[in-house]
Amino acid sequence: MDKKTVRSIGKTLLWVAGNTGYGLAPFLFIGFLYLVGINNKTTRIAKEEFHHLVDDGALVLFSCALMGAIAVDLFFARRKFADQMAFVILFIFSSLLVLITVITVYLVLLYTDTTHHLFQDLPRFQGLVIGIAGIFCILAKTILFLKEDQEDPK
Amino acid sequence: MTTELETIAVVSLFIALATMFFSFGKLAKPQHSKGLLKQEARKHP
Repeated sequence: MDKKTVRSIGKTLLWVAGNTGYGLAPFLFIGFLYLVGINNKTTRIAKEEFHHLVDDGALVLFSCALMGAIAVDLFFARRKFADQMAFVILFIFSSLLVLITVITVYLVLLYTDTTHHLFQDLPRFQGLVIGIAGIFCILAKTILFLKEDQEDPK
Repeated sequence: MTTELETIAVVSLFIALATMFFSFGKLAKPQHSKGLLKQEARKHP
């Protein structure tokens, strides 16, 4: 791996950490309160709130939002890739496929399930979506930083 | 969630993952000189 690739990966990791910190600040704070356990009442409320946020799909929502932001960044930067533009579109399409899957699952559950649990029953699916969205963000941002570095003569 | 729906969803997510890695592999490769020339031509018409 050359110096530019390592630098791009470093920037990407910093970008992911920063965005996660800012985007999930309330969620992380509640998680922190739950872990620290100041007193029984606070811990119980924090635990309930933490599980409530997870069950409602707050993490899936955050990962989809982050994925969408990068897909738009990538779309605007498509001209920088010249003859590789088709792969940029394919890359963006892969994020759309994740979104379509999430929407389809949600719709099917909404129209067939009689209970109101929905995402609560899907911890594995949620985990998979979050993981794949995370991989997309890391790969896309690395490519974008790498491209910026290649254009920069310094 | 029904098993069939879960299977379809997981397969679809893995197709998305494979597409991501395939595109990343192609994009991470250095561009051909032809593509770079086109890019330069676009910058300085």
